[in-house]
Amino acid sequence: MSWAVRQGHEHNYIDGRTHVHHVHLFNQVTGGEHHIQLLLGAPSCRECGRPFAQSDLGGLDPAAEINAALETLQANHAAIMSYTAKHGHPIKLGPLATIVPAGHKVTTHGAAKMLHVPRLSK
Amino acid sequence: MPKPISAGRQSSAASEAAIVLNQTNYASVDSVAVGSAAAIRIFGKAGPNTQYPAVKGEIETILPSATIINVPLSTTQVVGFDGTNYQARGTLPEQLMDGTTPTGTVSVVGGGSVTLPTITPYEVYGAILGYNVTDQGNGLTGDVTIAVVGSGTGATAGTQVISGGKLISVAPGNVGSGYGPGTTCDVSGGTFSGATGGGQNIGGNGGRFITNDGTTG
Repeated sequence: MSWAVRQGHEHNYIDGRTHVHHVHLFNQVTGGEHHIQLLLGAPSCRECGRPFAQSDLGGLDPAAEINAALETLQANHAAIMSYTAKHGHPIKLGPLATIVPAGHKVTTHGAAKMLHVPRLSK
Repeated sequence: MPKPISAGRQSSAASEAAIVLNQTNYASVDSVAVGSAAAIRIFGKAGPNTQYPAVKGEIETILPSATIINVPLSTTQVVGFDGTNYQARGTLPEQLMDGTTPTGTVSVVGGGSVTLPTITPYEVYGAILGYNVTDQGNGLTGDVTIAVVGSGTGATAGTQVISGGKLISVAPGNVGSGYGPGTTCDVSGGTFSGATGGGQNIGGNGGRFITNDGTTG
């Protein structure tokens, strides 16, 4: 999997003050980033807007949300890699890119890093 | 040795319409209804889950895409990126502190409360041959769940037609057997779930803030 949850508690935590669950996903190959934020609670009456206590967060499943996002991101990543391999253009990498897949090459152009994907034979 | 002079900070009062900000971004911000809540999506020109460039002065950075889940319906949210996370807040001035990049404004769908319709089953010789919508309800954004309650078993409702938030008709499904007088329908649900199309941007510009024009969202 190229997409994963970033390591470290600072990338997958619940802010106890704001009741937001922050999850930072990243692409280890391209350096792409995607955030998931689950708002935990803050319900209010849909008629009058008056807030009421939240006693059950059982309807929220962070693992399911993360897995669904990873599945979509991974599929998109595979499509980009196939496109690149087919047409022979390099991929500009973000600073979080840490993995160079076997057979691929990274070159540096000024401040930019480029990933070169093996060209598919025609 | 000359010292730099602080130009001061822009105050929140400067966020009136048509103010020129020295920053912009190319994000789209929308919302999608999911069950009884909504998800706000922040993304680039290539669609959901793609990143976008944001410009401050002469510096351009690529900011993460994001999905904010379980947002209350029927609210307006102003989204900004604080350098680490996105923040959804109620007003633009709340996103104008130093270090935060205002991203966009979005109205979160919902359209108010849902009034469920009432449905009476049409029973003949123990089978449910049809459904009479006696009250169309209001505010529906998705199919309602219909349970046939009576002495019989196996009856299910078929395709529903919903228009303008009202239930127009219900086709019969399996007719079941063994039902008698007094059979009723329990109705629940009625909110849109999954799929795109439940949300909309407000303020133009695809929900994003933009400089040098009068359409700042």
